[in-house]
Amino acid sequence: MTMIGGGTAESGTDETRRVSVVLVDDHAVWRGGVRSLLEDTEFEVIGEAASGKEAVEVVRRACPRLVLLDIRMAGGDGLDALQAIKAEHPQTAVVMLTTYDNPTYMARAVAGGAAGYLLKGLDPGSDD
Amino acid sequence: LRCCSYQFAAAPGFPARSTRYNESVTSSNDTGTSVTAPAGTANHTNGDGPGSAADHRALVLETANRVAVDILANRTGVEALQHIAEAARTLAGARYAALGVARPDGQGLAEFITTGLTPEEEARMGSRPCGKGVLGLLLTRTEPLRVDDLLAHPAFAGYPPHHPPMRTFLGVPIRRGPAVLGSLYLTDKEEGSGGFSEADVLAVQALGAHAAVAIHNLQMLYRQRALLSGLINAQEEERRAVAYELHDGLTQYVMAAHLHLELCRRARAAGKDDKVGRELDESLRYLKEAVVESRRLVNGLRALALDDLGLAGAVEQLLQEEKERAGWTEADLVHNVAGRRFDKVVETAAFRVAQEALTNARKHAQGQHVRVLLLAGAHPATDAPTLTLEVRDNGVGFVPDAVLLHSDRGFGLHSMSERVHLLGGVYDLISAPGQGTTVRAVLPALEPPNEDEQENESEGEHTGSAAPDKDLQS
Repeated sequence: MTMIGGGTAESGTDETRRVSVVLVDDHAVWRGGVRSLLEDTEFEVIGEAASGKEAVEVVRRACPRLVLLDIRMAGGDGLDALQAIKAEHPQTAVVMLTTYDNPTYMARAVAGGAAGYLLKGLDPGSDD
Repeated sequence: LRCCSYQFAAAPGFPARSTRYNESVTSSNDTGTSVTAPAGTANHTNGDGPGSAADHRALVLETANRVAVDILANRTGVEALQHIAEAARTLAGARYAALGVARPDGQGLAEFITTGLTPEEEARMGSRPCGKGVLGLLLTRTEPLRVDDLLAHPAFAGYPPHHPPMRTFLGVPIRRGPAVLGSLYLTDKEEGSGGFSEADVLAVQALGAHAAVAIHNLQMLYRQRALLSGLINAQEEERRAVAYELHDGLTQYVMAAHLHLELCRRARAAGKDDKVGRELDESLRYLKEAVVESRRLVNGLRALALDDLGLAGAVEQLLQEEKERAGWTEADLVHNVAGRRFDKVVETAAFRVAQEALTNARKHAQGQHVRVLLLAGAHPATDAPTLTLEVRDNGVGFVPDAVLLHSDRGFGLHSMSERVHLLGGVYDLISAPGQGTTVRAVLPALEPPNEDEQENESEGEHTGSAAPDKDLQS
């Protein structure tokens, strides 16, 4: 994944603790991939959700430090979920995910309080 | 003396629908070419003398002729109707005239075009009539209606607010065969006469026949517009669906495969051999899914089966797929076109009609048996080769007119008939509640174009699968 947005993700305040993460994406295939990716890292996936609505519920229960939130999902808009999550949990960092590099989404996500913006998919930087 | 000049606008900037035309020679209406009616115009309104009757006939003929030319000219349908109403008003010496176009289902008016009202009167009156009262009465009559005192007529339902008072009335139905397409209405016969005369009825009837043509044109125009916008919407809808399918299917699998390959590389670098194998397996699994997904997508976009299996094979495959999805107990294809190829447009049309008809049967018919006929034959009169496709189910059936007019499903039915008509074929939809549904398309059985062209086209695309006969001959 490529980090595009400015990062104020509140990871690593306590070096010894792993960062709890909730994955939100309507594609189970992708969630599975990211889960594998985060194995043996400082991140610990403590919950998953397949829609924006579900994400709000899961975040409410799990209280993660970080949410990886897909912008466009079949079961509800990720940007709406961002708003709801930030309203309830201002301390939770939300990083938006998307397949398409769209400046409008990026601007809306940052305006909505997202800590950053990750582009899903084929990262040219990882090929070398 | 009032000079009734009759104006024809040749320019496209025809004035707004309701204009008080030509009250005097000093009319400021200058958007079109003004043509003054021949001598006798002023006399005919009250004249029954022998000279004026002949003049009147000549005027009726000339007006009718001009209206016909007007309809043929490059105008929108509504402008032609406006002209007809104005011509009727002038001919019958009425103060006001209107032309109402019946809705296709006969329930009220689809269009109402007036002449004789000033723009102020028009603005004050607001909404147009919907076809009740005396106006509605005309839609159910096949004979003209002449009334000397409109207010005393039993069907008179009162004027809407700000409606100018009108007394004498002449209504002439506009017919096409037994169907009433609309009516011409005239009110307030001008001074010097008690009411509308028999001569007025005949004059307006002469225009009614032209109005029928103009209304028919207008309805065709509306139908074409509706079809076109339906097609554009369908195309957009299809593109959106393809975009979603790409995003939700293929893209996800490819991205997942990439992700697991990346993890595989990391695992190798870290010397974790078991993880290398696991991630590699995952990657291969997702790549395989991607290939299956891409095949599925391509198949949906283009009836590949048609190229590979020919029409009968493709319809057979389609029928089996739909049978499985719908859970029909019986689904048969009867055909006599094994191995035979037709022109691509004919094959595609037959296939798409079969597809639409079978989809409808699955979604709506609630039947158990479906039979598809695909028969090459000959036209009974011309002996020209034909290809008949028939899809019949034993389901609940429906009232075709009701569905065609009112539901979204009408679009699919229209598109089937449109496909068939575009090729010069004959399309029939036979259904009634409880009677099942039969869709029949008789298409001209055009042969494929000359073989060199087809060979070039198929080369490199579907190697070895399409039309093997041709390859043998070359």
